[in-house]
Amino acid sequence: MTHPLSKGILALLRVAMIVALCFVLFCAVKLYFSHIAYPKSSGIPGLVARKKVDYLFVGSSLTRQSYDMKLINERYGIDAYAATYNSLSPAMAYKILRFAFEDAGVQVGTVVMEAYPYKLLYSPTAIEDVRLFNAAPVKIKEEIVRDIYRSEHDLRKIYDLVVLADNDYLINAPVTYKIIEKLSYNGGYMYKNVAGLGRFTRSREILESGSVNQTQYRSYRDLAELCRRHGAKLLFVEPFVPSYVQLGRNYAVSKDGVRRAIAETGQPLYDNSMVKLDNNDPSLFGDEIHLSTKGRELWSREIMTLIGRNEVAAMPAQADLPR
Amino acid sequence: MTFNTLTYFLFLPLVYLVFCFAGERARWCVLLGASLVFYAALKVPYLLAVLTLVAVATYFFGLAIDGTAEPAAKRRLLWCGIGTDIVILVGMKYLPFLTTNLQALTRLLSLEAWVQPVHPFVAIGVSYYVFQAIAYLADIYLEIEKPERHFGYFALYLSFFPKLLQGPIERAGDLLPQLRGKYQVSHDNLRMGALLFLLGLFKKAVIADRLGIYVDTVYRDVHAYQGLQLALATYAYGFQIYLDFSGYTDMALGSALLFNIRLTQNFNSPYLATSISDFWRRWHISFSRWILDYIFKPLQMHWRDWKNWGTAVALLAAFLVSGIWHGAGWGFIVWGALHGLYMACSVFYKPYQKKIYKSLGLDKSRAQKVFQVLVTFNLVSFTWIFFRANSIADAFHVVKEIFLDTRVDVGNLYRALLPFTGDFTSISHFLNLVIFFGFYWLVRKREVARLELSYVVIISLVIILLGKFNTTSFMYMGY
Repeated sequence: MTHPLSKGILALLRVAMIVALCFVLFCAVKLYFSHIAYPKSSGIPGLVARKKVDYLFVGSSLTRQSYDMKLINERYGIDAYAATYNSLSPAMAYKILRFAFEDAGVQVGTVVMEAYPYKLLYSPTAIEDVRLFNAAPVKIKEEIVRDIYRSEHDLRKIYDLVVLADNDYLINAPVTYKIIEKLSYNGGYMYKNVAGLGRFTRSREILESGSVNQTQYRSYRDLAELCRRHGAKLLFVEPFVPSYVQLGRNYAVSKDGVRRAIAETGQPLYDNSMVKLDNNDPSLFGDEIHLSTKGRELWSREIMTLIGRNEVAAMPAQADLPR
Repeated sequence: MTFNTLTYFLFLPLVYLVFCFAGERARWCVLLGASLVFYAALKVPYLLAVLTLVAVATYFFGLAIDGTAEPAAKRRLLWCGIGTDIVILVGMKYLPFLTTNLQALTRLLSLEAWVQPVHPFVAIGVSYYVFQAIAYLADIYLEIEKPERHFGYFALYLSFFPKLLQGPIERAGDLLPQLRGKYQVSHDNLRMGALLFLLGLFKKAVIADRLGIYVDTVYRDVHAYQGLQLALATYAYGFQIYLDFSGYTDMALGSALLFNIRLTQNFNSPYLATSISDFWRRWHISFSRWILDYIFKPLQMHWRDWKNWGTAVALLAAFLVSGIWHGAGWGFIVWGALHGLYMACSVFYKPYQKKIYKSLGLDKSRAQKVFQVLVTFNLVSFTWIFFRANSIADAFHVVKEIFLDTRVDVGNLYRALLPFTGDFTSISHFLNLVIFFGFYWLVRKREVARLELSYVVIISLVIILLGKFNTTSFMYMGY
């Protein structure tokens, strides 16, 4: 005689088996094909699709929201692209650039690398913006997973990244893809209007804790070496952030680290002291750290001036030229 | 340990297996032991002491009420029992609020501040089993129920783990006979229980907690957002709290069903209610029945000479109690008062309602129903502002912004969604919510017991792959 529970347990096992099979299938498909779902207008897929870029801006959301790509393109006649992911650290930026140069054959004139001091405190495997993982080609994904396993043995982190990360986006990628394409311009934002603040809502400093990570420190040198090998000019720019952020205790310490790391590469660092903008002016910022539309335009012009690019006269469209 | 944690996913089958293989006479011990372990897992030692105190006091007062023949002595015992339970509840839940406000009052009156504010206690589950205990005593007094003479079963009635933290508030007459019943494995109950649990988890982890991202971001700093975002967040909160609470209830019902115990269904599509009174027949049913039977009806009887005014005042008082029960804060009191006000107004409006709809040619039409549902939904949503806001000042700011800030920048409409994640991915989060709501609507229309395998697989996968498991608490657990 069978136990009264056996029928229920068998039914449960059947459901569990089907769910497990679907789960494994989903994970495999996600790992090997998720990059296909990401739009070619931003991030790594956008960069790989381009093949040739005059100016490549690499960094975090600070870079994405600090450069008006449309203005740089139209007013300065520069073919520029921004490859950005939130909280992108130098170590992760190196992985992206190495893939772009060595595997995808992308040719870049100048790399403008964000030198945000706090990034020096990050773990080299830290990925805040999981699009970086999902939009990356399989080779980079494998490398990231391997790094996490080697340095941290953190299976939970790997599970979160491989199985759970960004599933929201992947479900409705075809729709969101179109919207993102419409709202992006050469990897940057196309917000019509990000109003400036009336006053800073946060008066206290933004504090990031930790000490300078040596892998991040070395990444600056690796980046310089990589660019040199592929004939790309490299320059580092400290992003423009409100003064209360810069007054943070760890900011000065990590900025000193950044300065030393970059000095070792022999490349220039453009820091905030070289620009004429006032980072006590809240109207230049749209939130506690990112620039407003006004701030973005002024900052873009400042940087163009710093790197010696002059505004070119707007060329009339082909259709308007006298025949 | 809450229902959406891995610990509970292991705990429940383990308890079930022990329950199955235990002898008939030991089963109550298994359930009582499991309930105490479940409560102890909250890691707040004094909660077990409070539960024991309420159980012992109520048990003995119940026996005493039943054993006394004289009506006046019976009534005294009833009030002593209820008083003991209320003192415990007030001490656990309302003392910090009372002392803080008393201190503010003494300062206002320039008196010597002799009141020291008390630090809040963790009171998870207390208000649920205290209300259950009060109902038990009242039912014995009214001779609706006989007292339970076996302390073990009585303690289990108060502490049965699926309903311990958030209800439903069960009546002794409904639950005790089931706890005493002989257990036989029922495949239908097992299947139904598992499916209800799964569905509840879907509501909580996939929809409610996803909505919570938006709501929490906006309500954390209401001054940073405009009217449109505040209105969206308020509507979202209405659904979040419903799906969170009804998700919990489904999981509680599902867990209990494994032991062949049917708990009270707490919800019946509340946002399809056509009036506020209809809403309260569909929302937190076990609680509104309690308020109706033990607060409203006695008060209405007491004030019956005032006719409609008596009913209206009784309603107002009952809903004020309802507000206070939800928490020690002015927001909850305003929330309860608003519902009381709606209900009180409806007493006077009801005789004219039919005439108005008839004169508009809408009487009994579909349009009338749609209109009523929309009005009720918006009235309820308005009250949620006070329920959710971090302070009364914040709530009034939200009301002001929603009604006075009419700026809508059509070109930047998508930015209304930004609080989800702060960037473009907000759009995908919002779209997914629409998809999940659609899927939930589809599942909702089906009979849970007959849910096809394909639905079960999809729901399970969606929970695993898209569920949010970073919050382990449920919203009604704090009330």
